[in-house]
Amino acid sequence: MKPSEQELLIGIYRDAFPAAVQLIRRMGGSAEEAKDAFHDALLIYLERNATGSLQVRTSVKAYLIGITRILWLHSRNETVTLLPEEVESFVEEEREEEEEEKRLLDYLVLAGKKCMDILKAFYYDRLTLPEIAERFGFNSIRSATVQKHKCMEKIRNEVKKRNVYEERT
Amino acid sequence: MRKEHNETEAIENYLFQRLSEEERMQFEAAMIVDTSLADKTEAQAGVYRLVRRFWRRQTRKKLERIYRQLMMDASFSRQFR
Repeated sequence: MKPSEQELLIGIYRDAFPAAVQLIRRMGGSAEEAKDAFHDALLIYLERNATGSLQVRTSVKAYLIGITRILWLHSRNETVTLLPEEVESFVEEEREEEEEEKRLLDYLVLAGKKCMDILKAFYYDRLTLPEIAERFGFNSIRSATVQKHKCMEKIRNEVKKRNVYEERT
Repeated sequence: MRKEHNETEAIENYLFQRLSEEERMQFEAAMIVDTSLADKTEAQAGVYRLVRRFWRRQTRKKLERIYRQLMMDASFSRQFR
Protein backbone atom coordinates (compact mmCIF):
# COMPACT_ATOMS: atom_id res chain seq x y z
CA MET A 1 0.00 0.00 0.00
CA LYS A 2 1.28 3.42 -0.90
CA PRO A 3 1.77 5.64 2.16
CA SER A 4 -0.76 8.17 0.91
CA GLU A 5 -3.37 5.44 0.74
CA GLN A 6 -2.92 4.69 4.41
CA GLU A 7 -3.29 8.38 5.20
CA LEU A 8 -6.38 8.54 3.05
CA LEU A 9 -7.88 5.65 4.99
CA ILE A 10 -7.13 7.29 8.32
CA GLY A 11 -8.72 10.49 7.01
CA ILE A 12 -11.90 8.67 6.02
CA TYR A 13 -11.96 6.91 9.37
CA ARG A 14 -11.50 10.11 11.31
CA ASP A 15 -14.20 11.80 9.29
CA ALA A 16 -16.92 9.15 9.36
CA PHE A 17 -16.49 7.06 12.49
CA PRO A 18 -17.74 9.53 15.14
CA ALA A 19 -21.00 10.06 13.27
CA ALA A 20 -21.41 6.31 12.80
CA VAL A 21 -21.02 5.69 16.54
CA GLN A 22 -23.48 8.44 17.37
CA LEU A 23 -26.03 6.98 15.01
CA ILE A 24 -25.72 3.42 16.32
CA ARG A 25 -25.91 4.70 19.89
CA ARG A 26 -29.10 6.61 19.11
CA MET A 27 -30.54 3.38 17.75
CA GLY A 28 -29.69 1.58 20.98
CA GLY A 29 -26.40 -0.09 20.08
CA SER A 30 -23.02 0.02 21.76
CA ALA A 31 -19.82 1.68 20.60
CA GLU A 32 -18.27 -1.74 20.17
CA GLU A 33 -21.08 -2.85 17.86
CA ALA A 34 -20.74 0.38 15.95
CA LYS A 35 -17.05 -0.27 15.46
CA ASP A 36 -17.64 -3.79 14.16
CA ALA A 37 -20.30 -2.65 11.72
CA PHE A 38 -18.21 0.33 10.67
CA HIS A 39 -15.19 -1.88 9.94
CA ASP A 40 -17.30 -4.17 7.81
CA ALA A 41 -18.69 -1.15 5.99
CA LEU A 42 -15.14 0.03 5.33
CA LEU A 43 -14.21 -3.43 4.04
CA ILE A 44 -17.10 -3.31 1.60
CA TYR A 45 -16.14 0.18 0.52
CA LEU A 46 -12.43 -0.61 0.07
CA GLU A 47 -13.10 -3.88 -1.67
CA ARG A 48 -15.51 -2.35 -4.11
CA ASN A 49 -13.13 0.50 -4.66
CA ALA A 50 -10.25 -1.87 -5.38
CA THR A 51 -12.23 -3.89 -7.88
CA GLY A 52 -13.69 -0.83 -9.52
CA SER A 53 -17.28 -1.77 -8.80
CA LEU A 54 -18.21 0.96 -6.40
CA GLN A 55 -21.16 3.24 -6.86
CA VAL A 56 -21.17 6.04 -4.39
CA ARG A 57 -23.89 8.46 -5.25
CA THR A 58 -23.32 10.67 -2.24
CA SER A 59 -20.18 11.30 -0.19
CA VAL A 60 -17.96 8.51 1.07
CA LYS A 61 -18.91 9.49 4.60
CA ALA A 62 -22.63 9.22 3.92
CA TYR A 63 -22.09 5.93 2.13
CA LEU A 64 -20.17 4.44 5.05
CA ILE A 65 -22.68 5.59 7.63
CA GLY A 66 -25.54 4.21 5.56
CA ILE A 67 -23.83 0.82 5.18
CA THR A 68 -22.88 0.76 8.88
CA ARG A 69 -26.51 1.29 9.80
CA ILE A 70 -27.70 -1.49 7.50
CA LEU A 71 -25.04 -3.91 8.75
CA TRP A 72 -25.86 -3.16 12.35
CA LEU A 73 -29.58 -3.66 11.80
CA HIS A 74 -28.83 -6.86 9.98
CA SER A 75 -26.65 -8.13 12.82
CA ARG A 76 -29.62 -7.64 15.14
CA ASN A 77 -31.80 -9.66 12.82
CA GLU A 78 -33.92 -6.65 12.11
CA THR A 79 -35.51 -6.79 8.74
CA VAL A 80 -33.91 -4.52 6.27
CA THR A 81 -36.34 -4.48 3.44
CA LEU A 82 -33.92 -4.16 0.62
CA LEU A 83 -30.35 -5.16 1.31
CA PRO A 84 -28.03 -3.42 -1.14
CA GLU A 85 -26.29 -5.91 -3.40
CA GLU A 86 -22.82 -5.27 -1.97
CA VAL A 87 -24.04 -5.79 1.59
CA GLU A 88 -25.92 -8.92 0.70
CA SER A 89 -22.99 -10.63 -0.99
CA PHE A 90 -20.67 -9.58 1.83
CA VAL A 91 -22.77 -10.91 4.72
CA GLU A 92 -23.56 -14.03 2.77
CA GLU A 93 -19.93 -14.81 2.08
CA GLU A 94 -18.90 -14.07 5.66
CA ARG A 95 -21.61 -16.38 6.95
CA GLU A 96 -20.70 -19.28 4.74
CA GLU A 97 -16.99 -19.24 5.47
CA GLU A 98 -16.24 -22.80 6.40
CA GLU A 99 -13.77 -24.29 8.80
CA GLU A 100 -11.96 -26.07 6.02
CA GLU A 101 -11.49 -22.81 4.17
CA LYS A 102 -10.17 -21.10 7.29
CA ARG A 103 -7.71 -23.91 7.83
CA LEU A 104 -6.52 -23.73 4.24
CA LEU A 105 -5.99 -19.99 4.56
CA ASP A 106 -4.10 -20.46 7.84
CA TYR A 107 -1.94 -23.02 6.13
CA LEU A 108 -1.28 -20.81 3.12
CA VAL A 109 -0.35 -17.87 5.30
CA LEU A 110 2.36 -20.09 6.74
CA ALA A 111 3.44 -22.07 3.69
CA GLY A 112 2.72 -19.69 0.87
CA LYS A 113 2.76 -16.25 2.41
CA LYS A 114 4.77 -14.66 -0.35
CA CYS A 115 2.40 -15.94 -3.00
CA MET A 116 -0.62 -14.75 -1.07
CA ASP A 117 1.03 -11.36 -0.69
CA ILE A 118 1.79 -11.16 -4.40
CA LEU A 119 -1.75 -12.09 -5.39
CA LYS A 120 -3.21 -9.70 -2.86
CA ALA A 121 -0.96 -6.91 -4.11
CA PHE A 122 -2.08 -7.64 -7.62
CA TYR A 123 -5.83 -7.94 -7.09
CA TYR A 124 -6.49 -5.71 -4.10
CA ASP A 125 -3.71 -3.18 -3.69
CA ARG A 126 -3.98 -2.73 -7.41
CA LEU A 127 -0.24 -2.50 -7.85
CA THR A 128 1.03 -2.43 -11.39
CA LEU A 129 3.54 -5.03 -12.55
CA PRO A 130 6.52 -2.64 -12.21
CA GLU A 131 5.37 -1.82 -8.66
CA ILE A 132 5.03 -5.51 -7.85
CA ALA A 133 8.50 -6.17 -9.29
CA GLU A 134 9.89 -3.43 -7.09
CA ARG A 135 8.11 -4.39 -3.91
CA PHE A 136 8.93 -8.09 -4.13
CA GLY A 137 12.40 -7.65 -5.55
CA PHE A 138 11.95 -9.12 -9.03
CA ASN A 139 14.39 -7.79 -11.54
CA SER A 140 11.94 -7.37 -14.40
CA ILE A 141 8.28 -6.94 -15.21
CA ARG A 142 8.44 -10.24 -16.99
CA SER A 143 9.57 -12.10 -13.93
CA ALA A 144 6.80 -10.41 -11.92
CA THR A 145 4.28 -11.71 -14.46
CA VAL A 146 5.76 -15.19 -14.39
CA GLN A 147 5.76 -15.18 -10.60
CA LYS A 148 2.15 -14.09 -10.42
CA HIS A 149 1.14 -16.97 -12.68
CA LYS A 150 3.25 -19.45 -10.76
CA CYS A 151 1.62 -18.33 -7.54
CA MET A 152 -1.82 -18.64 -9.03
CA GLU A 153 -1.02 -22.17 -10.11
CA LYS A 154 0.55 -23.11 -6.81
CA ILE A 155 -2.38 -21.95 -4.72
CA ARG A 156 -4.82 -23.39 -7.23
CA ASN A 157 -3.22 -26.81 -6.76
CA GLU A 158 -3.60 -26.49 -3.01
CA VAL A 159 -7.27 -25.67 -3.44
CA LYS A 160 -7.70 -28.60 -5.80
CA LYS A 161 -5.94 -30.97 -3.42
CA ARG A 162 -8.26 -30.09 -0.60
CA ASN A 163 -11.44 -29.98 -2.60
CA VAL A 164 -12.53 -27.03 -0.51
CA TYR A 165 -14.83 -25.75 -3.15
CA GLU A 166 -15.97 -28.98 -4.64
CA GLU A 167 -19.67 -29.70 -4.89
CA ARG A 168 -20.39 -26.13 -4.11
CA THR A 169 -20.41 -23.62 -6.89
CA MET B 1 5.34 -23.26 -18.84
CA ARG B 2 4.21 -20.67 -21.34
CA LYS B 3 1.16 -22.66 -22.30
CA GLU B 4 0.21 -23.15 -18.67
CA HIS B 5 0.36 -19.40 -18.06
CA ASN B 6 -1.84 -18.69 -21.03
CA GLU B 7 -4.34 -21.10 -19.59
CA THR B 8 -4.30 -19.36 -16.21
CA GLU B 9 -4.88 -16.08 -17.99
CA ALA B 10 -7.73 -17.55 -20.03
CA ILE B 11 -9.40 -18.90 -16.89
CA GLU B 12 -9.06 -15.50 -15.27
CA ASN B 13 -10.62 -13.77 -18.24
CA TYR B 14 -13.49 -16.24 -18.15
CA LEU B 15 -14.09 -15.89 -14.41
CA PHE B 16 -13.84 -12.10 -14.53
CA GLN B 17 -16.29 -12.08 -17.43
CA ARG B 18 -13.91 -10.38 -19.78
CA LEU B 19 -14.69 -12.62 -22.74
CA SER B 20 -16.94 -11.92 -25.68
CA GLU B 21 -20.03 -14.05 -26.04
CA GLU B 22 -18.30 -16.18 -28.64
CA GLU B 23 -15.15 -16.65 -26.56
CA ARG B 24 -17.22 -17.53 -23.54
CA MET B 25 -19.05 -20.25 -25.43
CA GLN B 26 -15.76 -21.59 -26.74
CA PHE B 27 -14.35 -21.70 -23.24
CA GLU B 28 -17.36 -23.48 -21.85
CA ALA B 29 -17.21 -26.01 -24.68
CA ALA B 30 -13.53 -26.57 -23.91
CA MET B 31 -14.39 -27.26 -20.27
CA ILE B 32 -16.84 -29.96 -21.30
CA VAL B 33 -14.23 -31.68 -23.43
CA ASP B 34 -11.36 -31.19 -21.00
CA THR B 35 -12.43 -31.93 -17.44
CA SER B 36 -9.04 -30.91 -16.08
CA LEU B 37 -9.73 -27.41 -17.42
CA ALA B 38 -13.07 -27.45 -15.62
CA ASP B 39 -11.35 -28.53 -12.39
CA LYS B 40 -8.73 -25.82 -12.72
CA THR B 41 -11.37 -23.21 -13.36
CA GLU B 42 -13.27 -24.24 -10.25
CA ALA B 43 -10.10 -24.25 -8.15
CA GLN B 44 -8.99 -20.89 -9.53
CA ALA B 45 -12.34 -19.37 -8.52
CA GLY B 46 -11.47 -20.70 -5.07
CA VAL B 47 -8.12 -18.90 -5.17
CA TYR B 48 -9.81 -15.55 -5.77
CA ARG B 49 -12.03 -16.19 -2.77
CA LEU B 50 -9.07 -17.11 -0.61
CA VAL B 51 -7.18 -13.99 -1.66
CA ARG B 52 -10.27 -11.96 -0.80
CA ARG B 53 -10.47 -13.57 2.64
CA PHE B 54 -6.76 -13.00 3.14
CA TRP B 55 -7.17 -9.35 2.18
CA ARG B 56 -10.16 -8.97 4.53
CA ARG B 57 -8.26 -10.52 7.43
CA GLN B 58 -5.32 -8.20 6.96
CA THR B 59 -7.48 -5.15 6.40
CA ARG B 60 -9.48 -5.88 9.57
CA LYS B 61 -6.22 -5.91 11.53
CA LYS B 62 -5.18 -2.67 9.90
CA LEU B 63 -8.51 -1.05 10.83
CA GLU B 64 -8.10 -2.18 14.44
CA ARG B 65 -4.71 -0.49 14.50
CA ILE B 66 -6.14 2.71 13.08
CA TYR B 67 -8.95 2.59 15.66
CA ARG B 68 -6.52 2.21 18.56
CA GLN B 69 -4.30 4.93 17.18
CA LEU B 70 -7.17 7.40 16.75
CA MET B 71 -8.66 6.62 20.16
CA MET B 72 -5.52 7.95 21.77
CA ASP B 73 -6.30 11.30 20.22
CA ALA B 74 -8.75 13.11 22.52
CA SER B 75 -10.06 15.40 19.80
CA PHE B 76 -11.27 12.27 18.04
CA SER B 77 -12.64 10.22 20.89
CA ARG B 78 -14.46 13.02 22.69
CA GLN B 79 -16.77 13.38 19.70
CA PHE B 80 -18.64 10.30 20.80
CA ARG B 81 -17.72 9.74 24.40
